[in-house]
Amino acid sequence: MADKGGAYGTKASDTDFRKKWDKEEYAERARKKDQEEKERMQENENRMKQGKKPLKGRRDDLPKPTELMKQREAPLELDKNLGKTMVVQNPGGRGPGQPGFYCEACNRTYKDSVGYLDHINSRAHLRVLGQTTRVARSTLAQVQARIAFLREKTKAASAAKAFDFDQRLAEVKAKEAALREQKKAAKKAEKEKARLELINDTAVDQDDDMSKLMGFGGFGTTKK
Amino acid sequence: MANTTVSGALAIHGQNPQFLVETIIRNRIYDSTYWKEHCFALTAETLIDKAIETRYVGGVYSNQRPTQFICLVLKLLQIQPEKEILVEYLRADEFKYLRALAALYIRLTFRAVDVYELLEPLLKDYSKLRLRDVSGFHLTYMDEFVYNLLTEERESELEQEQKQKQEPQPGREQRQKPHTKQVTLRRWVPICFEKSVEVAVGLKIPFTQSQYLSR
Repeated sequence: MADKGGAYGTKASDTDFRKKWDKEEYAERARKKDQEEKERMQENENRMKQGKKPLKGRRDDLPKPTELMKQREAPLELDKNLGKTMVVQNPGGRGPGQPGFYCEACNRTYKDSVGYLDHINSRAHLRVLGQTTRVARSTLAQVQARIAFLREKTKAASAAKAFDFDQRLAEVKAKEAALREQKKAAKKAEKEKARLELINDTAVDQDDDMSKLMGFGGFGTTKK
Repeated sequence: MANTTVSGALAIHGQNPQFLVETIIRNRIYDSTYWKEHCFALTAETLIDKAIETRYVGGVYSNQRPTQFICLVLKLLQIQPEKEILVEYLRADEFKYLRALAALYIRLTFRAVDVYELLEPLLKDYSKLRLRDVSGFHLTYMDEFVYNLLTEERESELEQEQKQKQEPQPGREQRQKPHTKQVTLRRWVPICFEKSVEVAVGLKIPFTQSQYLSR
Protein backbone atom coordinates (compact mmCIF):
# COMPACT_ATOMS: atom_id res chain seq x y z
CA MET A 1 0.00 0.00 0.00
CA ALA A 2 1.39 3.29 -1.02
CA ASP A 3 -0.65 5.44 1.25
CA LYS A 4 -2.52 4.34 4.26
CA GLY A 5 -6.14 4.76 3.51
CA GLY A 6 -9.35 2.89 3.20
CA ALA A 7 -10.60 1.20 0.06
CA TYR A 8 -12.36 4.40 -0.98
CA GLY A 9 -9.50 6.65 -0.15
CA THR A 10 -10.90 7.58 3.19
CA LYS A 11 -8.65 7.97 6.15
CA ALA A 12 -9.94 6.15 9.18
CA SER A 13 -9.85 8.41 12.19
CA ASP A 14 -11.59 6.06 14.58
CA THR A 15 -8.34 4.24 15.36
CA ASP A 16 -6.46 7.33 16.49
CA PHE A 17 -6.73 6.28 20.07
CA ARG A 18 -4.24 3.52 19.46
CA LYS A 19 -0.80 3.94 20.80
CA LYS A 20 1.72 5.39 18.39
CA TRP A 21 4.94 3.49 18.78
CA ASP A 22 8.19 5.28 18.55
CA LYS A 23 9.85 2.69 16.37
CA GLU A 24 13.24 4.29 16.32
CA GLU A 25 13.48 4.35 20.06
CA TYR A 26 12.62 0.69 20.34
CA ALA A 27 15.04 -0.21 17.59
CA GLU A 28 17.70 1.64 19.53
CA ARG A 29 16.81 -0.26 22.69
CA ALA A 30 17.00 -3.58 20.90
CA ARG A 31 20.36 -2.67 19.45
CA LYS A 32 21.64 -1.76 22.88
CA LYS A 33 20.40 -4.98 24.38
CA ASP A 34 22.04 -7.02 21.66
CA GLN A 35 25.27 -5.16 22.18
CA GLU A 36 25.23 -5.86 25.91
CA GLU A 37 24.47 -9.50 25.33
CA LYS A 38 27.30 -9.74 22.86
CA GLU A 39 29.72 -8.22 25.34
CA ARG A 40 28.57 -10.57 28.06
CA MET A 41 29.07 -13.58 25.81
CA GLN A 42 32.55 -12.42 24.92
CA GLU A 43 33.39 -11.99 28.55
CA ASN A 44 32.00 -15.38 29.37
CA GLU A 45 34.12 -16.91 26.64
CA ASN A 46 37.18 -15.34 28.18
CA ARG A 47 36.17 -16.60 31.58
CA MET A 48 35.62 -20.10 30.26
CA LYS A 49 39.10 -20.05 28.79
CA GLN A 50 40.47 -19.15 32.19
CA GLY A 51 38.49 -21.99 33.73
CA LYS A 52 36.02 -19.77 35.57
CA LYS A 53 32.27 -20.06 35.73
CA PRO A 54 30.32 -17.94 33.23
CA LEU A 55 28.28 -15.06 34.58
CA LYS A 56 24.53 -15.60 34.42
CA GLY A 57 23.34 -12.05 33.96
CA ARG A 58 24.32 -8.45 34.07
CA ARG A 59 25.60 -7.49 37.46
CA ASP A 60 25.10 -4.02 38.82
CA ASP A 61 28.11 -2.55 40.47
CA LEU A 62 26.81 -1.46 43.83
CA PRO A 63 29.07 0.05 46.44
CA LYS A 64 29.90 -2.11 49.40
CA PRO A 65 27.24 -2.03 52.11
CA THR A 66 28.33 0.20 54.93
CA GLU A 67 25.42 0.35 57.37
CA LEU A 68 24.21 -2.34 59.70
CA MET A 69 20.78 -3.86 59.20
CA LYS A 70 18.21 -1.38 60.46
CA GLN A 71 14.64 -1.58 61.49
CA ARG A 72 12.13 0.06 59.19
CA GLU A 73 11.25 3.50 60.41
CA ALA A 74 7.67 3.75 59.24
CA PRO A 75 5.05 1.05 59.58
CA LEU A 76 4.52 -0.78 56.32
CA GLU A 77 0.72 -0.35 56.29
CA LEU A 78 0.22 -3.40 54.16
CA ASP A 79 -3.54 -3.20 54.51
CA LYS A 80 -3.98 0.50 53.85
CA ASN A 81 -5.52 -0.11 50.40
CA LEU A 82 -7.57 -3.04 51.55
CA GLY A 83 -11.08 -3.02 50.07
CA LYS A 84 -10.41 -0.04 47.83
CA THR A 85 -11.05 0.16 44.13
CA MET A 86 -8.26 1.92 42.33
CA VAL A 87 -7.52 2.93 38.76
CA VAL A 88 -4.48 1.23 37.35
CA GLN A 89 -2.22 3.93 35.96
CA ASN A 90 0.27 1.88 34.10
CA PRO A 91 -1.29 -1.31 32.81
CA GLY A 92 1.10 -3.84 31.41
CA GLY A 93 4.18 -1.73 31.98
CA ARG A 94 6.95 -1.96 34.52
CA GLY A 95 7.49 0.34 37.42
CA PRO A 96 5.12 2.08 39.79
CA GLY A 97 1.40 2.41 39.36
CA GLN A 98 0.71 -1.25 38.82
CA PRO A 99 -1.48 -3.26 41.11
CA GLY A 100 0.44 -4.80 43.98
CA PHE A 101 3.19 -3.78 46.35
CA TYR A 102 5.90 -1.71 44.73
CA CYS A 103 9.47 -1.53 45.99
CA GLU A 104 10.91 1.79 44.95
CA ALA A 105 14.53 0.93 45.68
CA CYS A 106 14.54 -2.19 43.52
CA ASN A 107 11.82 -1.17 41.00
CA ARG A 108 9.82 -4.31 41.51
CA THR A 109 6.16 -5.00 42.05
CA TYR A 110 4.91 -7.87 44.16
CA LYS A 111 1.43 -9.24 43.84
CA ASP A 112 0.97 -10.16 47.49
CA SER A 113 2.13 -8.99 50.87
CA VAL A 114 4.04 -12.19 51.64
CA GLY A 115 6.21 -11.89 48.56
CA TYR A 116 6.73 -8.23 49.27
CA LEU A 117 7.70 -8.87 52.88
CA ASP A 118 10.12 -11.57 51.81
CA HIS A 119 11.64 -9.15 49.35
CA ILE A 120 12.11 -6.23 51.71
CA ASN A 121 13.74 -8.54 54.24
CA SER A 122 15.98 -10.05 51.60
CA ARG A 123 19.69 -9.67 51.20
CA ALA A 124 19.31 -8.22 47.69
CA HIS A 125 17.04 -5.44 48.89
CA LEU A 126 19.28 -4.64 51.83
CA ARG A 127 22.21 -4.52 49.48
CA VAL A 128 20.50 -1.86 47.41
CA LEU A 129 19.83 0.11 50.57
CA GLY A 130 23.50 -0.20 51.46
CA GLN A 131 22.91 -2.34 54.52
CA THR A 132 24.67 -5.47 55.60
CA THR A 133 22.80 -8.39 57.07
CA ARG A 134 24.12 -7.85 60.56
CA VAL A 135 22.14 -6.25 63.32
CA ALA A 136 23.65 -3.76 65.71
CA ARG A 137 24.17 -5.09 69.23
CA SER A 138 22.61 -2.90 71.84
CA THR A 139 24.47 -2.25 75.04
CA LEU A 140 23.25 -2.45 78.58
CA ALA A 141 23.21 1.35 78.85
CA GLN A 142 20.98 1.63 75.81
CA VAL A 143 18.57 -0.91 77.22
CA GLN A 144 18.45 0.86 80.56
CA ALA A 145 17.84 4.19 78.89
CA ARG A 146 15.05 2.72 76.79
CA ILE A 147 13.34 1.16 79.77
CA ALA A 148 13.59 4.42 81.72
CA PHE A 149 12.15 6.31 78.77
CA LEU A 150 9.25 3.89 78.38
CA ARG A 151 8.62 4.01 82.09
CA GLU A 152 8.25 7.79 81.95
CA LYS A 153 6.06 7.55 78.90
CA THR A 154 3.68 5.03 80.40
CA LYS A 155 3.60 7.02 83.61
CA ALA A 156 2.51 10.11 81.70
CA ALA A 157 -0.09 8.07 79.85
CA SER A 158 -1.48 6.59 83.06
CA ALA A 159 -1.56 10.02 84.71
CA ALA A 160 -3.55 11.33 81.80
CA LYS A 161 -6.00 8.51 82.29
CA ALA A 162 -6.35 9.15 86.02
CA PHE A 163 -9.91 10.05 86.84
CA ASP A 164 -10.91 13.10 88.89
CA PHE A 165 -14.69 13.12 89.23
CA ASP A 166 -15.20 16.71 90.41
CA GLN A 167 -12.95 18.08 87.77
CA ARG A 168 -14.72 16.15 85.09
CA LEU A 169 -18.10 17.27 86.34
CA ALA A 170 -16.94 20.88 86.25
CA GLU A 171 -15.66 20.39 82.76
CA VAL A 172 -18.96 18.95 81.59
CA LYS A 173 -20.88 21.79 83.22
CA ALA A 174 -18.67 24.40 81.62
CA LYS A 175 -19.12 22.76 78.27
CA GLU A 176 -22.90 22.70 78.64
CA ALA A 177 -23.00 26.34 79.73
CA ALA A 178 -20.91 27.35 76.74
CA LEU A 179 -23.25 25.47 74.46
CA ARG A 180 -26.27 27.15 75.98
CA GLU A 181 -24.70 30.59 75.59
CA GLN A 182 -23.97 29.86 72.01
CA LYS A 183 -27.56 28.83 71.32
CA LYS A 184 -28.89 31.91 73.04
CA ALA A 185 -26.62 34.16 71.00
CA ALA A 186 -27.69 32.48 67.80
CA LYS A 187 -31.37 32.92 68.64
CA LYS A 188 -30.83 36.56 69.52
CA ALA A 189 -29.02 37.20 66.27
CA GLU A 190 -31.87 35.62 64.34
CA LYS A 191 -34.43 37.77 66.08
CA GLU A 192 -32.39 40.88 65.40
CA LYS A 193 -32.12 39.96 61.78
CA ALA A 194 -35.88 39.43 61.48
CA ARG A 195 -36.53 42.80 63.10
CA LEU A 196 -34.20 44.59 60.70
CA GLU A 197 -35.86 42.90 57.75
CA LEU A 198 -39.26 44.04 58.94
CA ILE A 199 -38.05 47.64 59.18
CA ASN A 200 -36.61 47.47 55.68
CA ASP A 201 -39.83 46.01 54.32
CA THR A 202 -41.97 48.81 55.73
CA ALA A 203 -39.57 51.32 54.22
CA VAL A 204 -40.09 49.73 50.82
CA ASP A 205 -43.83 49.73 51.39
CA GLN A 206 -43.95 53.48 51.53
CA ASP A 207 -42.43 53.63 48.07
CA ASP A 208 -45.01 51.18 46.92
CA ASP A 209 -47.85 53.50 47.79
CA MET A 210 -47.09 55.60 44.76
CA SER A 211 -47.04 52.63 42.41
CA LYS A 212 -50.30 51.43 43.88
CA LEU A 213 -51.83 54.72 43.11
CA MET A 214 -50.74 54.25 39.53
CA GLY A 215 -52.47 50.91 39.54
CA PHE A 216 -49.39 48.75 39.60
CA GLY A 217 -49.01 46.48 42.56
CA GLY A 218 -45.99 44.49 41.49
CA PHE A 219 -45.75 40.86 40.34
CA GLY A 220 -45.25 39.23 43.67
CA THR A 221 -47.73 38.56 46.36
CA THR A 222 -49.05 41.45 48.30
CA LYS A 223 -49.07 39.42 51.41
CA LYS A 224 -46.65 40.52 54.06
CA MET B 1 19.88 -13.43 57.14
CA ALA B 2 16.59 -12.38 58.65
CA ASN B 3 16.26 -15.79 60.23
CA THR B 4 19.83 -16.73 61.00
CA THR B 5 21.28 -16.65 64.46
CA VAL B 6 23.58 -13.74 65.14
CA SER B 7 27.18 -14.56 64.28
CA GLY B 8 29.36 -15.31 67.24
CA ALA B 9 26.47 -16.62 69.28
CA LEU B 10 27.24 -19.22 71.89
CA ALA B 11 25.75 -22.63 71.38
CA ILE B 12 23.19 -23.51 74.01
CA HIS B 13 23.02 -27.12 75.11
CA GLY B 14 25.40 -27.89 72.30
CA GLN B 15 23.30 -26.53 69.49
CA ASN B 16 22.00 -23.46 67.77
CA PRO B 17 19.90 -21.56 70.30
CA GLN B 18 17.05 -21.20 67.83
CA PHE B 19 16.64 -24.97 67.81
CA LEU B 20 15.21 -24.75 71.32
CA VAL B 21 11.96 -23.91 69.58
CA GLU B 22 10.63 -26.98 67.82
CA THR B 23 11.13 -27.12 64.09
CA ILE B 24 7.47 -27.04 63.21
CA ILE B 25 6.71 -24.06 65.38
CA ARG B 26 9.91 -22.36 64.33
CA ASN B 27 8.96 -22.63 60.70
CA ARG B 28 5.50 -21.37 61.51
CA ILE B 29 7.07 -18.37 63.15
CA TYR B 30 9.36 -17.72 60.21
CA ASP B 31 6.31 -17.75 57.95
CA SER B 32 4.18 -15.52 60.13
CA THR B 33 3.49 -11.94 59.15
CA TYR B 34 4.30 -10.65 62.59
CA TRP B 35 7.79 -12.09 62.36
CA LYS B 36 8.44 -10.71 58.92
CA GLU B 37 6.89 -7.32 59.45
CA HIS B 38 7.60 -6.45 63.06
CA CYS B 39 10.45 -8.66 64.22
CA PHE B 40 12.79 -7.72 61.39
CA ALA B 41 16.14 -6.31 62.56
CA LEU B 42 15.10 -6.03 66.20
CA THR B 43 17.81 -5.37 68.72
CA ALA B 44 17.75 -5.94 72.45
CA GLU B 45 16.72 -2.31 72.78
CA THR B 46 13.92 -2.15 70.22
CA LEU B 47 12.61 -5.51 71.32
CA ILE B 48 11.42 -3.92 74.55
CA ASP B 49 8.83 -1.86 72.68
CA LYS B 50 7.47 -4.94 70.98
CA ALA B 51 7.42 -6.90 74.22
CA ILE B 52 5.42 -4.18 75.92
CA GLU B 53 2.92 -4.20 73.09
CA THR B 54 2.17 -7.90 73.48
CA ARG B 55 -1.14 -8.58 75.17
CA TYR B 56 -0.79 -12.22 76.15
CA VAL B 57 1.68 -15.01 76.74
CA GLY B 58 1.42 -18.39 75.10
CA GLY B 59 2.84 -20.59 72.39
CA VAL B 60 0.43 -21.22 69.57
CA TYR B 61 -3.26 -20.64 69.19
CA SER B 62 -6.11 -21.67 66.91
CA ASN B 63 -4.62 -23.50 63.97
CA GLN B 64 -1.01 -23.63 65.21
CA ARG B 65 -0.55 -19.92 64.70
CA PRO B 66 2.36 -18.56 66.72
CA THR B 67 1.66 -15.83 69.26
CA GLN B 68 3.62 -12.61 69.29
CA PHE B 69 5.11 -13.76 72.57
CA ILE B 70 6.68 -16.87 71.10
CA CYS B 71 7.92 -14.86 68.12
CA LEU B 72 9.77 -12.59 70.51
CA VAL B 73 11.18 -15.57 72.39
CA LEU B 74 12.62 -16.83 69.13
CA LYS B 75 13.95 -13.36 68.42
CA LEU B 76 15.73 -13.31 71.76
CA LEU B 77 17.21 -16.72 71.03
CA GLN B 78 18.33 -15.38 67.70
CA ILE B 79 20.02 -12.20 68.86
CA GLN B 80 21.24 -13.66 72.17
CA PRO B 81 21.54 -10.52 74.31
CA GLU B 82 23.98 -10.35 77.17
CA LYS B 83 23.01 -11.69 80.56
CA GLU B 84 22.93 -8.23 82.13
CA ILE B 85 20.35 -7.10 79.58
CA LEU B 86 18.09 -10.01 80.48
CA VAL B 87 18.42 -9.14 84.15
CA GLU B 88 17.49 -5.58 83.25
CA TYR B 89 14.37 -6.86 81.51
CA LEU B 90 13.45 -8.79 84.63
CA ARG B 91 13.85 -5.72 86.79
CA ALA B 92 11.30 -3.69 84.85
CA ASP B 93 8.43 -4.75 87.06
CA GLU B 94 5.71 -2.59 85.50
CA PHE B 95 6.13 -4.25 82.12
CA LYS B 96 4.87 -7.68 83.04
CA TYR B 97 4.95 -9.20 79.59
CA LEU B 98 8.53 -8.12 79.13
CA ARG B 99 9.23 -9.76 82.45
CA ALA B 100 7.48 -12.96 81.45
CA LEU B 101 9.43 -13.00 78.21
CA ALA B 102 12.73 -12.58 80.00
CA ALA B 103 11.77 -15.26 82.54
CA LEU B 104 11.06 -17.78 79.82
CA TYR B 105 14.27 -16.95 77.97
CA ILE B 106 16.30 -17.26 81.15
CA ARG B 107 14.69 -20.60 81.87
CA LEU B 108 15.55 -21.81 78.39
CA THR B 109 19.16 -20.74 78.24
CA PHE B 110 20.75 -20.01 81.61
CA ARG B 111 22.48 -22.37 84.00
CA ALA B 112 20.20 -24.03 86.51
CA VAL B 113 21.69 -22.10 89.43
CA ASP B 114 21.18 -18.79 87.70
CA VAL B 115 17.68 -19.75 86.71
CA TYR B 116 16.70 -20.31 90.32
CA GLU B 117 18.48 -17.25 91.60
CA LEU B 118 16.86 -15.01 89.04
CA LEU B 119 13.39 -16.48 88.83
CA GLU B 120 12.61 -17.26 92.46
CA PRO B 121 12.09 -13.59 93.37
CA LEU B 122 9.39 -13.49 90.70
CA LEU B 123 7.29 -15.88 92.77
CA LYS B 124 6.34 -12.80 94.76
CA ASP B 125 4.96 -11.08 91.70
CA TYR B 126 1.22 -11.67 91.64
CA SER B 127 0.34 -9.66 88.57
CA LYS B 128 -2.19 -11.09 86.20
CA LEU B 129 -1.18 -12.48 82.86
CA ARG B 130 -3.36 -13.31 79.91
CA LEU B 131 -2.56 -16.70 78.46
CA ARG B 132 -3.64 -17.72 75.01
CA ASP B 133 -3.62 -21.28 73.80
CA VAL B 134 -5.47 -23.46 71.35
CA SER B 135 -8.63 -23.40 73.44
CA GLY B 136 -8.71 -19.65 73.93
CA PHE B 137 -7.74 -17.09 76.53
CA HIS B 138 -7.10 -17.92 80.18
CA LEU B 139 -6.13 -15.98 83.24
CA THR B 140 -2.91 -16.82 84.97
CA TYR B 141 -0.52 -15.04 87.32
CA MET B 142 3.13 -14.26 87.14
CA ASP B 143 4.00 -16.44 90.13
CA GLU B 144 2.09 -19.33 88.60
CA PHE B 145 3.82 -18.81 85.30
CA VAL B 146 7.24 -18.74 86.91
CA TYR B 147 6.42 -21.71 89.11
CA ASN B 148 5.54 -23.68 86.01
CA LEU B 149 8.78 -22.61 84.42
CA LEU B 150 10.70 -23.85 87.42
CA THR B 151 8.92 -27.15 87.90
CA GLU B 152 7.46 -28.34 84.62
CA GLU B 153 9.55 -29.88 81.92
CA ARG B 154 7.42 -28.33 79.32
CA GLU B 155 4.79 -25.75 79.88
CA SER B 156 1.73 -27.60 78.72
CA GLU B 157 0.13 -24.51 77.32
CA LEU B 158 3.32 -23.18 75.88
CA GLU B 159 4.01 -25.50 73.05
CA GLN B 160 7.72 -25.21 73.07
CA GLU B 161 10.72 -27.24 73.84
CA GLN B 162 12.18 -26.54 77.21
CA LYS B 163 13.27 -29.87 78.43
CA GLN B 164 16.72 -29.61 76.91
CA LYS B 165 17.43 -27.17 79.63
CA GLN B 166 17.10 -29.89 82.18
CA GLU B 167 18.71 -32.72 80.32
CA PRO B 168 22.27 -32.14 81.48
CA GLN B 169 20.96 -32.48 85.00
CA PRO B 170 21.67 -35.93 86.35
CA GLY B 171 19.44 -35.25 89.32
CA ARG B 172 16.38 -35.64 87.18
CA GLU B 173 15.53 -39.21 88.14
CA GLN B 174 15.72 -38.48 91.82
CA ARG B 175 13.17 -35.75 91.52
CA GLN B 176 9.68 -36.41 92.74
CA LYS B 177 6.57 -34.47 92.01
CA PRO B 178 6.70 -31.53 94.35
CA HIS B 179 3.98 -30.97 96.88
CA THR B 180 4.70 -27.39 97.78
CA LYS B 181 6.78 -24.68 96.31
CA GLN B 182 9.08 -24.52 99.31
CA VAL B 183 10.06 -28.14 99.17
CA THR B 184 10.76 -28.05 95.48
CA LEU B 185 12.92 -25.04 95.57
CA ARG B 186 14.89 -26.10 98.60
CA ARG B 187 15.47 -29.48 97.15
CA TRP B 188 16.31 -28.27 93.72
CA VAL B 189 19.03 -25.83 94.36
CA PRO B 190 21.24 -28.25 96.32
CA ILE B 191 20.92 -30.75 93.54
CA CYS B 192 22.38 -28.23 91.19
CA PHE B 193 25.25 -27.54 93.52
CA GLU B 194 26.01 -31.12 94.47
CA LYS B 195 26.26 -32.26 90.92
CA SER B 196 28.00 -29.16 89.82
CA VAL B 197 30.67 -31.02 87.92
CA GLU B 198 28.26 -32.94 85.80
CA VAL B 199 26.02 -29.98 85.41
CA ALA B 200 28.88 -27.88 84.25
CA VAL B 201 30.02 -30.46 81.73
CA GLY B 202 26.93 -30.06 79.68
CA LEU B 203 26.92 -26.35 79.99
CA LYS B 204 30.54 -25.44 79.74
CA ILE B 205 31.07 -27.02 76.38
CA PRO B 206 29.70 -23.98 74.59
CA PHE B 207 32.48 -21.83 75.89
CA THR B 208 35.17 -23.61 73.92
CA GLN B 209 36.13 -22.12 70.63
CA SER B 210 34.96 -25.06 68.56
CA GLN B 211 31.43 -24.72 69.76
CA TYR B 212 30.97 -21.24 68.41
CA LEU B 213 28.35 -21.32 65.76
CA SER B 214 29.66 -21.07 62.28
CA ARG B 215 27.58 -18.94 60.02
